[in-house]
Amino acid sequence: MTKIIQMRQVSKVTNGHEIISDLNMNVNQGEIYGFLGPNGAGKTTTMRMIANLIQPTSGKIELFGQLLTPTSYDIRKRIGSLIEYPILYENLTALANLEIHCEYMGFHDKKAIRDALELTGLTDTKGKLVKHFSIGMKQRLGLARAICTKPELLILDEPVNGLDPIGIQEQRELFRMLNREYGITLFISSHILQEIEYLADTIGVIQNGKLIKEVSMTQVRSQPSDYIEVVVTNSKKAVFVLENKMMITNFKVMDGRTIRIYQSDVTPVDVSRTLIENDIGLEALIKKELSLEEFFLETIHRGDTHA
Amino acid sequence: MLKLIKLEYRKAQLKALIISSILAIPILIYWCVYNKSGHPDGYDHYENAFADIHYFVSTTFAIIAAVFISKIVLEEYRSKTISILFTYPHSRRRLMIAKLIFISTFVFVSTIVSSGVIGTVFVVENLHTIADSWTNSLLMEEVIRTLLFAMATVGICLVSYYIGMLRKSVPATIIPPFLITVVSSDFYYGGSLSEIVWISIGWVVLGIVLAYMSIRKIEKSDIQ
Repeated sequence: MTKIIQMRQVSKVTNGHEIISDLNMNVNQGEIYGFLGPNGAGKTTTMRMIANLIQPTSGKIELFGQLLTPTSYDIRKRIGSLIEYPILYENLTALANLEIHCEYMGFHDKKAIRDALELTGLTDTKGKLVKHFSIGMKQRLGLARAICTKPELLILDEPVNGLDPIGIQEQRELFRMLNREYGITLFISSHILQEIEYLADTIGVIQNGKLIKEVSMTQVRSQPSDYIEVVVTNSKKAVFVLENKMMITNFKVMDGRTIRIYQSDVTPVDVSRTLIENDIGLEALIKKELSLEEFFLETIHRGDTHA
Repeated sequence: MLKLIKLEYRKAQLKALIISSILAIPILIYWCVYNKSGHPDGYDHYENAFADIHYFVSTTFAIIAAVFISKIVLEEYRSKTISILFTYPHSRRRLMIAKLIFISTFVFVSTIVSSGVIGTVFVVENLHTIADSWTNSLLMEEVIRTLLFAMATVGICLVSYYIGMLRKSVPATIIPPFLITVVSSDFYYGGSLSEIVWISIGWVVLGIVLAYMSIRKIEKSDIQ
């Protein structure tokens, strides 16, 4: 599969602080890549490096198979971006903002501007200056600007910020449509999994400047999502029994007394019987099903532990 | 490049600023011609009168240029629209040069036009009150001086651009041209033609060197 974005050992150091650390990432052509991480994890910095606004301290970034350098001007024609918050020319109208953007991008298609305004629901703004727009309208105009030149890659940093629930739903539909009908590759960041879990084909998780997991959602959904949770009096002894007597390897000690067993071939009856037989006090035992979010976070965590 | 310059004009909505800048001309006419630049006794020689006209015109348009720099360059940094501008498929250096060409051209042309208009009104109004006679050689010399002062004003404007960019501050952009013209008012605007030639060339060279220094590393600099 053709890679649209490839980052190899990319690091960024600012004022002596390493904001991005040896980041490796692959975004395939035609996919929606969800870039997930808490605030301050390094999502925006990564996106700014891809948009060529800041330079990596070390490592390589390839876009469309070409090495990204400060003078990669032509590549920029193939990218639409909305990074951090919508930065617009506030004293101009929505239409003027898009016209100027298209002029700079060397894109001359008036219909594309009208289409972008229509897709983002901004056709009624006419002579209204952007400074009088609500935050949600500015967000939509930022998106309209990003898509009006029909880019091959769309970089969107927390694109639903400031939108109401209906607006969020509309944006999701729009992203899907842009991806499926126009074949645009989307690289979307968020700090909330629910925002992108139903949208993304692949999710990359960044934490403290490191990409800790890159996983396809198909892979996540195909894995068993139920587990057995046991609360015991002696977790050390219980772990010994699980490992050596029941030969269970896929489990996790949550705290001093709670253990989660993810192995699908083990039943709650087997677990309770074996623990009791080995003189381990059993305070609770329950079979649970993970929500996608819980399961995803578990997957990441287990991935970390195994690594 | 012309396209980029036109986009600057359109983007920063400079029409209103240019019109209000042109309003400086009648105010300068009132001050330099009818108020004799604050000299109640008037002038005995055209040279003295023109030295004052050049001084007030240059100071006014150097400050107006600094306002343009604030509007066209610093405003982009302040409102962070520079991070949009630098995602376009153009060299950052080229984008900044387009801004500087626009500002420099405006300053050069407006300084010449203003000096020409104010000088003409002054000569017409004072043809019989000044002892000196108005000659063709005097006219030629004033035309040359006007061109040199216009060049120097562009140079001063580029110096203020450099200082403003260092601090990304509006006062740091506007105060230097004012101080420079005030400090150099006596020895420069009233100097001999040869002195003016060298000082004007000096300002232009200094301005170009500093402007180049401010954009030399811009391609690789991080935009926050």
